[in-house]
Amino acid sequence: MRPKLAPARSGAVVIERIDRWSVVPLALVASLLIGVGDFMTGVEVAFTLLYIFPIALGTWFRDRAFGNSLAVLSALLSVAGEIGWRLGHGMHLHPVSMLWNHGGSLGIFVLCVEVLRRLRVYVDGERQSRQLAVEQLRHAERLNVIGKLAAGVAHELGTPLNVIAHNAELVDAGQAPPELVHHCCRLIIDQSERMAAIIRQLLDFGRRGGSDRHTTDLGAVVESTVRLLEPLARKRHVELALSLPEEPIVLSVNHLELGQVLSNLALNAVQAMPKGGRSLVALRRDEERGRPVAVLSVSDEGTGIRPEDVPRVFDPFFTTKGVGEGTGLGLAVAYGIVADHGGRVSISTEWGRGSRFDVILPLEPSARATAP
Amino acid sequence: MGEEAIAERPTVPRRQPHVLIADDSTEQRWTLRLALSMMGFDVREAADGRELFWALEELSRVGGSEPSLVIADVYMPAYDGLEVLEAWRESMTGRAVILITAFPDAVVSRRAEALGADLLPKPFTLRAFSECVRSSLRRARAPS
Repeated sequence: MRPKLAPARSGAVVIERIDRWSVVPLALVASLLIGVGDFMTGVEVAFTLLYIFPIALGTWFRDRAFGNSLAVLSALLSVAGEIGWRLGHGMHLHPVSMLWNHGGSLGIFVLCVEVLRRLRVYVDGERQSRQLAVEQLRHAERLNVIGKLAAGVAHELGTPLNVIAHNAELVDAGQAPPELVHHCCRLIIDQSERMAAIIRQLLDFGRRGGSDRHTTDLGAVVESTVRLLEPLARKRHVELALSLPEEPIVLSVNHLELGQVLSNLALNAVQAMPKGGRSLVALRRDEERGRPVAVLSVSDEGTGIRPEDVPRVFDPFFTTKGVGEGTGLGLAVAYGIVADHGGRVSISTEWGRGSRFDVILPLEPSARATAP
Repeated sequence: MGEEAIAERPTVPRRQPHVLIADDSTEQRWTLRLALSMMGFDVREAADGRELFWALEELSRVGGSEPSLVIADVYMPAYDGLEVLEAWRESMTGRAVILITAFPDAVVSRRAEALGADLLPKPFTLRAFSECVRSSLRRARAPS
């Protein structure tokens, strides 16, 4: 808490100079002094503390003005209590002793109000700054993603757009040799299709979430997806091996989305082995930190991922493949879908030896019971 | 592999200025090659950063004034165009260099400027391309 530069009252200077650290020992020392005073003069200490509780609550929830009103009210009550008690017992009133006792109480009460107010301000400030930090982080992350998307879109669409425009220009200006006009047009069509495919994938990337999920046998989804991919893998001399658990693993998922995750990972594996090889798709039940999970692994004997590329493989538009082979959206889409399902994707890779992607999905405890 | 690919290209007509073009998109290379040959250039191609690297390595060994123009895409697999050109900075003196990029941010612009290269942001028209080629060559031939 900063001291004010031009205080209106000298009392305000003292109060503003008390910060949240100095106020606590001050309050302790004052309470100790009053407590000792109470004890010496035979006043019940618990009685004073009894007033503190409502004042504290009032200050915490309704702020200083309300707490101070309660403090004054409490001091007046204790004055009235003592006057009543003394008169009831036929005792004389001692103005100086009463001023000492109840003035001290009022001081304690007001100090308590100040402690609580400062604590409250501190807690609120901390909470606010944390919220602000989280928001800033989110904003930065959003900007980062948008920036990457923009760079990716610019790069992925820039080249085919260039090819389309240039070939159209060549044909239009009659510059293209007659025997090449057909090829120019073919290029225009191909590149338009490529751009359309990229846009479709971008839409897939943005359209995730909110989809309906059903209780699904994961093994069945995995098996049907692998069957679908087999012809393509065979064409590339890749053997797609499948390993399923004996007991079915049942989970509430969107089977279309999960199929897309697997096909993106499997296609990635196939493309990682330009000379062909074997890719294993395995589904198993496991435990992670004591909780049951389903693990879907896709491993390949391909090129592996360079260590410096590992943190970026799930970034949209990050690709190490040549133009036309990958847009760099497949793994980003897969990662997003898995995250939507409350899971995560982990990578283990060795440069030159191959990679393994593990999709880890949490299983509800009830999913165990559905096994026969 | 890079050396072979480049050695295969015909290098017969010495009168025409040579252009070395490095881009990972086959279609883009084909189109620019067509446009450049219409403009009277003899074109050599490199399909990625590695091929560009070997082409420039050969250039630094053999010497000579050709190619008078090197056109490279910034973002390519293996090595990016900027990296390779920076590695062979010495053999770039006296030659025109055009860098093609879809994302001409401040870093790329600064590095291109340091190389003395022209930056051509994608997408561009063929007219803009041919103007850039001519002006780059003019500047390279008449050093300040």
